[in-house]
Amino acid sequence: MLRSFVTKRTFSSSAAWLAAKKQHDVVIIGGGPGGYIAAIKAAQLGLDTACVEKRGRLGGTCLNVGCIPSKALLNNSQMYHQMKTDSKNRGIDIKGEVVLNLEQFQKAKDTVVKQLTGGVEMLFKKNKVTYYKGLGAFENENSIKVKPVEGLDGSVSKETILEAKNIVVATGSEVTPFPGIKIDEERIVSSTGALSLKEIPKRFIILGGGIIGLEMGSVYSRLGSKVTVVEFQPKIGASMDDEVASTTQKFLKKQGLDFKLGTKVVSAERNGDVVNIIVEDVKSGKQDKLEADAFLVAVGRRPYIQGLDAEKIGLEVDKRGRLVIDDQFNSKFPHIKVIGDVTFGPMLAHKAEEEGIAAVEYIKNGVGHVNYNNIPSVMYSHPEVAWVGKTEEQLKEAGINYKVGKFPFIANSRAKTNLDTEGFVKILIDSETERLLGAHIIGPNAGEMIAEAGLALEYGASAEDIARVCHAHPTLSEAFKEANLAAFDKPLNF
Amino acid sequence: MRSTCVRLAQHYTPMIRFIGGRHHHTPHLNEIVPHPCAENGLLPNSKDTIPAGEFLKSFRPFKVIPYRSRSETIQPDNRYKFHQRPLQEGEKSHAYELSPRFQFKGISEDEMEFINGGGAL
Repeated sequence: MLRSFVTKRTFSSSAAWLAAKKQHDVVIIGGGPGGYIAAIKAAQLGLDTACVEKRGRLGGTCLNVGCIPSKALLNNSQMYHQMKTDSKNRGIDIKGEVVLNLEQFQKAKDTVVKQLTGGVEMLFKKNKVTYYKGLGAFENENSIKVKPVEGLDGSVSKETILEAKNIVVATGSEVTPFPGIKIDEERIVSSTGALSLKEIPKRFIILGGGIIGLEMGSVYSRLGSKVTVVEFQPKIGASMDDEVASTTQKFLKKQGLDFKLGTKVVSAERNGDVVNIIVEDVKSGKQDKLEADAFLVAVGRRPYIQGLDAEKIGLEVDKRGRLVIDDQFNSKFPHIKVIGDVTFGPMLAHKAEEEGIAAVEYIKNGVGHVNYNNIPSVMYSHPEVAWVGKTEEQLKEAGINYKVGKFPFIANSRAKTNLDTEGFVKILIDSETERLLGAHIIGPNAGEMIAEAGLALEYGASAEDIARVCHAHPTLSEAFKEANLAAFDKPLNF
Repeated sequence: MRSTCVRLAQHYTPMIRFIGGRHHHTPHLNEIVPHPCAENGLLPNSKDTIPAGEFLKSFRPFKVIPYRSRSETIQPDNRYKFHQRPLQEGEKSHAYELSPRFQFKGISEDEMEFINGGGAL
């Protein structure tokens, strides 16, 4: 008995000893936008930093199967669509036919992804971040076990224990499945599969009228698919201002997208090369049968903590599975911080990046900062939609008196020279102080322009402050200036 | 000789008041404050949190399920392969060919009445 006990103890301690052991000041689990930015910042602040990522490539969902590949498809599909439908107007005659080369279309997207993910690895090398390829999980409160991942090129060859003074969890999120619908990533796809469809579907039905669904719908509509968006809510665009959401819907409808709002999906089943979908009107209960060549399930994302062994150390979640933290990103252990999609707040890459920086600054200096009232959102359809700050609905709900300033792009010189005049800029200001409260843009370059609104919000600028800053002519940003002018006085060019 | 831009900048009074210089952060107070995006001010270690292990027990992970067509799903069971062969000694091809002792007896009228009446009292 004693002998076997001794043997067992010796064996288990030998096993632990056999696992490689390393020490770092901070270990970050997850190499997505939150994780890799946190790692680089931590290294820049002089901390011995390690980052663990199991995907095999850095950049997380955003770089690999999210923001970046979708923007590549959106840009190139828009170019294709413009060449097919809009070139004659601009004095460009195309001899012959404009044809999509789907293989090259996908290759162009994959090349960008590879370049950017490789670029992040270079940044790790430049900043001396130790990069462990493997599955990171809690061994105890102060160490992370990195397990080898089978088939992963460059994976740690054996279990490695990383002892850390500080740990940052940045494990991100995954696709939320829809009950009863089997995703095969061929005909019934998530956003990941939608980025790599093997053919352009003739009929493309999308479950979910949020940003991901609408962006993918835009891509395939431009490439020739008949797109139908099925949305449970009575409006599209989730957290968009109502006026902007309805204007967006009008523009997308004009582009050929069909909308079934206030409609739920009862079932979706693949039968060979076709997906049979049953939908039901939420109010009337009337059912309808639809058929698609591809069906995208885009009902949102959910926090990802599988494989983290969070339960080993007793970490807690809320009812939506988000790791619970305080305002310093601390979990129940002050030295274990959590950032990004796996915890509270909007699931946006730039929000995760800001949190990554703030979390690391808390570790190094005891202070950090993220302004959650100033996180912009962008939808990269055409026209683009971008917003930051409060919507009219939120201001009404809060009982805040406000004024509106609006300026259409049809009155903007640059938009006219570009023959791209759909949309407007809408500014919301406090009725008394005229301080900027919210900015909503639908139109060309909205995603870039919203940064000016963010800066103005951060500085507590008034509409007059913005309007009295010289904006270059002719630029689209003049529309932003004019909207602010309209908010507190009168616009000059409309 | 200073350039015009520098001379003009020196005479201009900005309308927006900028503080300038590096940010001076106020140290965080020694109290635990809920995250601004937490629902209902949820804090770690509070009674409304759910242990991660408990949450994961009822959690269905996202899985990609490869499509198999109906013809693929009906797998022939190789254990029971039918081979046509002639009858051997003592074998019959149908139950009706067996002696009455081994055949299924139909339910009699009395038995039917008994069952319809609810069985034994």
